[in-house]
Amino acid sequence: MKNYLIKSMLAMFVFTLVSFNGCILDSFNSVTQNVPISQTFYLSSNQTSFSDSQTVDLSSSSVYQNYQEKIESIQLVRAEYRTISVNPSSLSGNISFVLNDWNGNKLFSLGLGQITPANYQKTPLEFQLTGAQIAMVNNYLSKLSNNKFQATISITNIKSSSVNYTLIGAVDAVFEMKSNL
Amino acid sequence: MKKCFYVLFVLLLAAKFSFAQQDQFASFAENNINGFAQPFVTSLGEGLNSGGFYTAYVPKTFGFSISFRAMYIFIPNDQKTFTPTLPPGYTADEPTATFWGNKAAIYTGPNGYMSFVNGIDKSGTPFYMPQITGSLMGTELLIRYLPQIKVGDKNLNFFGVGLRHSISQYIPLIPIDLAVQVLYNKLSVTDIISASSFAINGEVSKTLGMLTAYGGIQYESSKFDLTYTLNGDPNSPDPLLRQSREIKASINGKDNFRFIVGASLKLVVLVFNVDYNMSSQSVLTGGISFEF
Repeated sequence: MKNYLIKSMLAMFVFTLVSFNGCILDSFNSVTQNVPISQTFYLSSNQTSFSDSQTVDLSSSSVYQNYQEKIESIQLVRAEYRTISVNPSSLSGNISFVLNDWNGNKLFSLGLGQITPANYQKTPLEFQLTGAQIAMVNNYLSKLSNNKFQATISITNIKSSSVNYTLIGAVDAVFEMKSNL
Repeated sequence: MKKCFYVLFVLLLAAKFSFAQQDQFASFAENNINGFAQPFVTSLGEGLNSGGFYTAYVPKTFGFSISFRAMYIFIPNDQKTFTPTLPPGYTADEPTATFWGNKAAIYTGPNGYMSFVNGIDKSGTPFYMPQITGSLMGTELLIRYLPQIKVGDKNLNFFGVGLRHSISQYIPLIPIDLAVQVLYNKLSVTDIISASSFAINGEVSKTLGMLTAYGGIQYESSKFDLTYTLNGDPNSPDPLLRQSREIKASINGKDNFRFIVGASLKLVVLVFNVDYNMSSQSVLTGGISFEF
């Protein structure tokens, strides 16, 4: 009777041990972190529309650089427009944003509508990206060597109290990056 | 998956942790490391301060036991997130992940986005520990020890010691057993981690045949000194995160008191026990002891 009890208890103990033994150590094999990237755009003109194109390079991030050889996946999470400075502050216009991959293929375009950039200096304007737009970017990023984009900001239908105007803005994005350790 | 089966002792978790800590903590400055790491320190303290007894009976003559303790620590939801300190212009309108949490929050402000590292997304963690006890004249010495382990180019050391003394031996005809115990554990990885835990408890038990019901109340503390290198990002909106530098942090666990209730079954020289510990992070402890 006691032998039976001992064997049963031992079996139960081992079973419990294995059942509870989640793969916690595996959790230390990788680290997932958010990588913020900012790209500044300089727009200065006396026309009623103008645009600026810049390269968005993930490798400009020191976090990305630190893990570049160990990246398992990287995906776009969020993006926003932010005004760094604008002159005159009353400037308003129809702002649009286009993101192309490094080969010039359009990933998505976004119209922000008729906005006054001065309103987005302290509180950036969050891009309302659709699932399909994010999927396009992430599909491009799924090839890990794809780490550069061409981004263009355009302003049309400008209304300003001054003939010459300057807008320095930034597009910020956050990428979720999983790296092997 | 097979690595799961290599998890034998809390030390292996600590060893693995010491490898990964640079990457887990590298995005935290002094102002937020406590919020991120405290739940892990609490878990370590909860684990190390568990499994100290399975009866309040301490033999008046000679006694000896070899035990294997397995614990499962439950991480409550409120220890999976914390509210970080953010630079001016940023509002922590949602909490971010602690070490045990899931996704890190993303904050926006006048200098763009800022965020932290994700947690490892776990609701519990197993801990394992071997220990031996020897008793004489109503006093028991508990030893937890493992030889030095090489962790990369670092050395990992662990030892624990406990002393338990029977109180009921001084009270004639008392129908229950009473004892008090102190426990101290020390864990270190050269130049990276120095962790210690302390506990003092009062125990009560009642034995009926092969079965013993036991319980206790325990005061405890845990401390974790950590050294890591902050990976500076010159473009970070937080001035504290712009320059790489070495950070030394001293973090106290949130474990203070626990109530223990459990039962053990003695079958010849084998004792099986299970107990539940209500604390900052609840712990389920099971053990097998070979005693004579």
